[in-house]
Amino acid sequence: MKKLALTLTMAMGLTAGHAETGNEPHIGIIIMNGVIIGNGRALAGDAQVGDTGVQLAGAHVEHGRLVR
Amino acid sequence: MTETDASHDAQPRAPARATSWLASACALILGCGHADEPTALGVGDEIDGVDERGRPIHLRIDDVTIDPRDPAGELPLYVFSERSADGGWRPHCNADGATTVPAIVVPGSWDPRGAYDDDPSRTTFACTNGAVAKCVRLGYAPWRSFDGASLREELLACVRMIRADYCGDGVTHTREGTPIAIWDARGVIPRGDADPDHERFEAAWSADGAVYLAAPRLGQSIASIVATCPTRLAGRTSSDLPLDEAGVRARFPEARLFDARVLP
Repeated sequence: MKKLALTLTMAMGLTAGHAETGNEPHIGIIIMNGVIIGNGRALAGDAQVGDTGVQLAGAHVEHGRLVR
Repeated sequence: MTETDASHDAQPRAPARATSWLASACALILGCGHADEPTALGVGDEIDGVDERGRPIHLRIDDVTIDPRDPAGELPLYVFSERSADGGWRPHCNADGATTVPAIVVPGSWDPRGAYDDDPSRTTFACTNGAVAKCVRLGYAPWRSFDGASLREELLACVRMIRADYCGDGVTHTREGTPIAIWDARGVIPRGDADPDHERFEAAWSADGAVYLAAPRLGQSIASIVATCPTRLAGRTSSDLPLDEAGVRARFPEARLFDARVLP
């Protein structure tokens, strides 16, 4: 029954409120809700999960879009 | 209000598209575009910047798609390549290149302790295998609003929650692939049907970390967690203040998000 519920969650996308978490590098593994979870290394600027604090030259972000 | 409604708070879709089309037509046919209007970057565009360590970074946009999970149909997913030291290009989000991992761009930055700085001159390239992008995709885009109020605090609380950063010091207390159920106080993500046989209330969260800890995610002892940040969590755990979720909401109104461990 639980597997069925999780499958339904996956089909419904993210809004069902289920997630997975993690603390290690995590590449290429797609989990039950279709989201790949990293370890928050984005916070430390690791390129595997993202860079934070980048100062851009001639570009900025508006509503999630890169513009210049 | 639904999550889709929340997304619409920030950017009405149809009017924005109409405006964009009219602006393009005007610029092409009549030459009446505004020189200072921002232009969206697209495939092939390259971006120069400096990362938080002061190193130059050079990115190229290889692909742009709209996140199919975004109810508003607006959230761009970028695939970036990064110029490497030898002059070649390597995937920005996955060093092995075996899979394509897109990224979301978020204004501001997070420091190693997980504190957010909303300085708009800094940008976070949040790969979708990281906590920041995951929280945006869950619905907590900081540039959007819900019932007229920003979702910024929900995003920050979500990042703490995903990483099980109970102490709000940037230290994670979870492992890869640990499932949780999440919901929030404002109803952006409402509490679904709880499954008491398979879920156990874990914690309530704010932008600063856990505001109440009921049961650590991986089954650690509460004492071991509290020992790392007694000033934050002492008196705020099920060990010394047993509360259910309703009790936590009443006692700690600063709680933005809640989660439950999903038991096997």
